[in-house]
Amino acid sequence: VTRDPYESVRHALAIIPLVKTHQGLTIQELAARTGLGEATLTDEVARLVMMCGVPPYQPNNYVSIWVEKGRVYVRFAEQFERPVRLVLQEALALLLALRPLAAEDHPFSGAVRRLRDKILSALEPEARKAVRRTERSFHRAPRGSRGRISELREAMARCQELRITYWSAHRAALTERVIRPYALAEHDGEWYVIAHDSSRGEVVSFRTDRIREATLLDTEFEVPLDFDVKAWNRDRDFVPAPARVVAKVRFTGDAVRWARDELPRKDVKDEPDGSLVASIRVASDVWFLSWLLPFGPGFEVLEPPELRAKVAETCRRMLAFYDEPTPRAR
Amino acid sequence: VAGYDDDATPEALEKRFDRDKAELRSLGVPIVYDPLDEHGHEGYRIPREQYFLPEIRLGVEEAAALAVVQRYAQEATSDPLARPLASALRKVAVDSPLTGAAAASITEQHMLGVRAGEAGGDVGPNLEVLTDAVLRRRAVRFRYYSIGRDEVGQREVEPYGLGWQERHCYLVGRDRAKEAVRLFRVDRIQGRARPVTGRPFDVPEDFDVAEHVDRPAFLLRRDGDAAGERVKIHLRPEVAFMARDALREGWTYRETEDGGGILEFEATDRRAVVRYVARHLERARIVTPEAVRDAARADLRKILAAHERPVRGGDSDGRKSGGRK
Repeated sequence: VTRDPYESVRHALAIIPLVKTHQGLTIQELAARTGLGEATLTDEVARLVMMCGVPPYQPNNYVSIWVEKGRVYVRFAEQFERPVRLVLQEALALLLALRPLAAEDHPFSGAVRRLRDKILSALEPEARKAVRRTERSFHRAPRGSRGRISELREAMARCQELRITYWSAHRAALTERVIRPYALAEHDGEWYVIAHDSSRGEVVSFRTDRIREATLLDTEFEVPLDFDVKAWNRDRDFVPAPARVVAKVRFTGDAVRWARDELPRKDVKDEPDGSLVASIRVASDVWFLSWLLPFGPGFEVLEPPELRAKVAETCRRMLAFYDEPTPRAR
Repeated sequence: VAGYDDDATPEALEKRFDRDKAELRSLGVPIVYDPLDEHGHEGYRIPREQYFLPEIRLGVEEAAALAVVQRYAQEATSDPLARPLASALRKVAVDSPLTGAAAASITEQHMLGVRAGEAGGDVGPNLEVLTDAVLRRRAVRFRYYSIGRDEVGQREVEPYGLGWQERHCYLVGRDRAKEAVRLFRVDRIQGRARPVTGRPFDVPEDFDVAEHVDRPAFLLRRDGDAAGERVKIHLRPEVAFMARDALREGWTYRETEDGGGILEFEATDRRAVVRYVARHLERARIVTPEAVRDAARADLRKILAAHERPVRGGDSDGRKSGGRK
């Protein structure tokens, strides 16, 4: 329930024009369209019923809003014909949030370009100039490429399976599998396809930039009714996998401050000799090593012995790679 | 008038009126002051022609994109622009041809993930202050930990922009003491950033935060005049395609006989190049410059030596805590 009266005014200025344009919307529909929860919305509508008019207080200056069988109607309120214009912050927030969808070859890129022009043209000239200028003050760098997103997009539109060659960083291997792409998701500048993986028989997410090849197959699929993309937002793949083992690593020299900068405080301990000993939960050895090796000689894995041996083994392989002759360009 | 009909003093009423005006303006209501006219009237007015949001004719696809953003807005409460975003979406919702159910089915296929906010501790409050300062062009003051020099110092910065790179948020702005544009990682700001009073500063006309933030680590460093040098990296076939697909301006990629490729780019920070290559483990190596290649090999030999000998000294905490995780 909103307590800030200005927040209520904000909501009212959006709700009334919406109901005026679409008379008889259900509370649920109104909640979905305004992005307000049903409880907040019911509360706001109840408040609006009590709202009075504006000068000169003629009958049609009074807002008349009522709910009948769960549907909302509004009469008069000419002064609330349309929502209020967008302010700088709003227009900016909208354009920035749309940016990831404007990425070339994303299914919505064309629509987002048109939308951008429409939003800008709905602004007063001064505001438009300010938004254009301020837009360049905010940026989220994309990470990696979007990879085979156009193939994914086609497979999604046609509901046809794809055969992909995928680089699994977790397993450090290129693998081939058949997937049914259900959804595309952007997270932290990276793109993922959430898909059914036939080799595992379950729905998993794949980074699109790690798909080397994608071939459209003839077999069609249906998205299961119980598939819920929301489940992928936080609690599935975008959080680290559960730890398999806890590694003890000693950092020395310059690496001490870099490690301290990256690790949670509770996981590090200063030693009297100035070194730092960290307990690091390891879900994947490959992930762990590719995080650790960039520290250079300022680290040493103390435990467990298997990981310590793996560091040595990886160094040997890396050095061996350096000894190979450089192949010629094709 | 309701809201002004209590026993408050004229001064209090005036303050209340000012606050209401400011709030209405922040909602988008244009309020203009009209000085005395020939009839002796003065006062505030809301010009009709500037009040209403012009109709935005939304196509189905455009509305679909907005639906994806709306779902994001509902969950991304830690985004410093979450509130204006939600408010903007409510305003444009009036012109959407999509029903709630249609929008829901679109958001089943497309999603903007919400940052879990796991990185770098509690940057939320500072991010809000800095976003506001960028928009208002107000300088800020804060204590900053420079990891390169390993020291904490006071900074006064004209914040030109904010950018996200990898998992970190950077403030890009003109450092008043250094009289130069610098990058500051927001999670290395100690305590609260505070706005500095004074006139709004000017941002250079051609400033684009992307040019400062959207670059790999080996080009991020800007202290001194580190001249760039060309670096060649050889990548194994299993990972080479990712480099090939993510080429930046000025980079080249050539496929090699082994199915892998050679990536060539400019770098200003050698240590960062070595770190970048090490991330790929045994699937990448530096080809040239020779000095950088030798540095990488020397590092590997040292790491190898440290891990081939028996563990020295161990962990002072080890005996006590034993098998603790």
